[in-house]
Amino acid sequence: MTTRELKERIELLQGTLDLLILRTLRMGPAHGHAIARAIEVTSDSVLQVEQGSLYPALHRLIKRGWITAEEGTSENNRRAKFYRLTAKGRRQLAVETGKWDKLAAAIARILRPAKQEGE
Amino acid sequence: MNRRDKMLHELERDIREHIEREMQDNIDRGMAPDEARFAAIRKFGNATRVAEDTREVWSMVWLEQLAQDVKFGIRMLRKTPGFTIVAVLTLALGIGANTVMFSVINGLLLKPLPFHRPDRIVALNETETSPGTFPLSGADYLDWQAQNGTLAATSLYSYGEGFNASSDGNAEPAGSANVQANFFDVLGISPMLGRSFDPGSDAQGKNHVAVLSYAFWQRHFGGRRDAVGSMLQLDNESYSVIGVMPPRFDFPPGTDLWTPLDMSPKGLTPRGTHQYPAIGRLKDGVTPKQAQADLAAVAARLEKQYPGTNDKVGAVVTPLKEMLVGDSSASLWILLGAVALVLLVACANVANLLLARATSRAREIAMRAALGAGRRRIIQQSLTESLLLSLTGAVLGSIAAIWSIQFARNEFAGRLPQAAAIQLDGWVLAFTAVVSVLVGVIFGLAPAFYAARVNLHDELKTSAGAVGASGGRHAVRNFLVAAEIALSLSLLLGAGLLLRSFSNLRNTQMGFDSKNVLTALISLPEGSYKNLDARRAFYDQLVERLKALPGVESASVAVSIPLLGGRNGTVTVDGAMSPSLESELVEFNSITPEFFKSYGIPLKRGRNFTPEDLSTTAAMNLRADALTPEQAQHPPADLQFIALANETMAKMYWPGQDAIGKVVHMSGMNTTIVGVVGDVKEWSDLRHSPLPELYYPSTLVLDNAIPMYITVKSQIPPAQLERAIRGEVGKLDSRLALFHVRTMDEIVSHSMRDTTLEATLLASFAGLALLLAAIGIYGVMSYVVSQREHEFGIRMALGAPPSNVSGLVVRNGLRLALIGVAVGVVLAIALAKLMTSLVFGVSVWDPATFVVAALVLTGVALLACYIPARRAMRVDPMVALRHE
Repeated sequence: MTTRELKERIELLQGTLDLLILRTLRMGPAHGHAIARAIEVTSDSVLQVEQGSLYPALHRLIKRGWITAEEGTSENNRRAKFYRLTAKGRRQLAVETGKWDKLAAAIARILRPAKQEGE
Repeated sequence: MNRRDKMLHELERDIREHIEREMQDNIDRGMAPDEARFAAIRKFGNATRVAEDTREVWSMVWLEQLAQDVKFGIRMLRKTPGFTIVAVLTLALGIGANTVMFSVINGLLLKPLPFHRPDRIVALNETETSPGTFPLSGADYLDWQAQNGTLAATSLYSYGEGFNASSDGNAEPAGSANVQANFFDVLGISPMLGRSFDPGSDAQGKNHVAVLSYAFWQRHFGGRRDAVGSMLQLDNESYSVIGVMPPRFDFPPGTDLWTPLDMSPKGLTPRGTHQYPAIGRLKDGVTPKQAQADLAAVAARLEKQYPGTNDKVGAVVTPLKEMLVGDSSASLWILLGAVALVLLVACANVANLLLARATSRAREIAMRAALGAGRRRIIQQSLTESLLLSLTGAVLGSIAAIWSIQFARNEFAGRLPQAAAIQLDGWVLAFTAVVSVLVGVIFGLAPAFYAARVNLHDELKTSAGAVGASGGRHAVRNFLVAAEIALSLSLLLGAGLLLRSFSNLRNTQMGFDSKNVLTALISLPEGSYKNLDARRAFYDQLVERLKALPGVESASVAVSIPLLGGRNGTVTVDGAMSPSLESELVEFNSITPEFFKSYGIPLKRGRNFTPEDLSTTAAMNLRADALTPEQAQHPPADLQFIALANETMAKMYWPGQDAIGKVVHMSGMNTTIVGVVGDVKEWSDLRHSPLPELYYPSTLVLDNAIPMYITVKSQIPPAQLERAIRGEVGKLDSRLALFHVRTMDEIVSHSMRDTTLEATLLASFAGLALLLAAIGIYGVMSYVVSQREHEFGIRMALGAPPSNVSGLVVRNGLRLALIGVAVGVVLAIALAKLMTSLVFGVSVWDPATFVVAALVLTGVALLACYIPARRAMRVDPMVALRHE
């Protein structure tokens, strides 16, 4: 029971994480650490996820064909694996963003009246 | 290395690099190296689990789940071995029967004939003044061959009468076909060994060459390769063996060896004498319809040219396959439909068993749902179990099918050239696989959805052991049982109709007594028996010797015997004759006097032949043979033949008059009727009523070397006489073989074999469905009793007699049965029409058969209710009440 629940919770996180990764890669290819940093920075460190959870997500996105991985050299001439958004991934990002917006709007609509009542 | 392996292979390095970067960032921010490393590792999280989770991304989750489901399913099925065995056996029977029927249909109807581009081969036939199609006359064929513009090639063949074959002194009968030299080329088949006929080998005098069938080559020559080039004695004449056909080639069906037909115009039959089937290969781009139109035009020209013989002689072009399987296809499809119904009944039964099981497993399922299994997952698990059952059933069924298919192949061998194609091949296995998956889903769906709908709350709340009943589930089970009964009724009805047809055929007036009658065919080689006298002398001696055997009552010789006739033509009579009689077929036979005694055919009027009649006819016959064609048009007045007519002939041609002394004219031959005998069925199709028939003395045909049937009627079982008869024949001529030694009883059952096979199969299918339906009713009723045990206890505690309670159960079951029967009757009325071509002497909507079938089913249903009803009576009120 516990493992199942845990998995489901991870799954919830994964969906969001996927979206964030795709969003980050829209700016251009990046290596794993850079993606983690970017998510941290752009979300003002609100989303504190363990950096390791990035890797299952990256692999899942590769499997689905939304991103690709290639060898490259990073800023200080070190070898690194760069992840790049594919055309399919770009389309998926649009879909996921739309879904997210709808969800966010729905949650906002639910929450706002409650707030008013409370006030 | 694929993407997955590459990504996972580099994962460790990627993680290490990631942490190093983070550490470097930390150092850049001013941390000490040790602290920086620790912080980086902490921020990354558990690297081992990350690697594991990442690996799982690539693993095939569904496959692992499936493996889990299969493992779990097997465990659950093993926990209830009784249920599993019943379900698997039920399905094995249903699926196995379908596999066999499909392999027959696949082999006979769906697979192409084993010839080159078989769809381009057509069968050629003629029409006549009488209805039906007929083989061609030789003269017409030669004109068709020369004048058509749509066939690339045509070939003529005839079913030979068989040879006495010997290569080492021992005579053996060999079924033969005489064919035009290009026969194998038109079919597009080459011999496996040696060569086929040269173009000129069908000319007169050059045709002493033979091509062997694979089976005959194996049987007679032991498969020796030097058989090709050796000599074979056929009816005491030497033929050189030039080739052996491949094993699969069997056309015309049942042929042991092929010899060239004498294609000279003199060697072939004249116009009006239908003798030869023919085949043709369509030119490229020509349809059978166009060929039909083309040959019809040729036939119309011939009709104008030869009005005397070719009146209404038209052309019929049919795709060869259609001609070969046309008759069997309807019954085969019906039988496949019947086994499909059996399978449906089996499905309903297993679904019912599964539902009952799902009820007792409700708590387990609820528990799994509570632990987080989703609906989809539960349905998936449930379907996996169903598929496990159906696939196991399919494997068992297919194994059983191997033997049944062997049986089916033997059943059809010699009847159809593609019988060898009945086998368990890829197509059949694919069919079985698809059927078993479909079946698994069909019977698994209801229990699966039921399982997914289990009410978590209720199931977990009820105390262990008690099972909650839901009205919906009950309705489904009732529906399934009613459906089983309805389907079984249609099958039972079909079987009933065929059984009645069978008994109608069995009881049909065949007009002769088949008891203790043995028949065999003898073919006297033309070389050793050169003329009428020689042949007559042989048969006279043979008949005397046979009659002298102990236990023999009578012996006779004839061209045709009952059920194996088919030599016929049209005749005219003096005086007014109704126009319909001009095209009426009259069956001809030539016999020795004891023929009627052998078959118990009564002499109704006039007299039988005497030995003197045989001599007179022989003399007349020789005179007639000596006439020139011009003289034969107007034969001398004293050239008179005599014959006996059957009753049908007497009534048809001379209604209200005495047939004795009347004169019949046939191809310039005057015949006086001297007696009238009872009717017999001349054709093997027993549905055919007797034709008018003329019996001539045997000497009418003995001027030709045609095979004759000998008939021996005995007081003892005739099979015991076979050795003695062979011995007598051997004493007269050791090089003669006896063909087709059979008792008349065998010939009778042979003529009924299609109906016998159909009736047997359909009856066993119906029996199977009936058994399954009974099990279904029993299951549901037992369930009902166990559900209402408590209620019954209260009823009896309040004073209801046990019979009241059991009556409740029986009424309940009867209601289901009656609903099923009502639906089944409607279904059967709709389906019965399909049976029209298979029944004989009974309407497909025969009320009596309907009533009996409905009664049988209702009776079986009541019987199936009986045991649960008794159990209901024995419910102990105290126990039932305390159970609360």
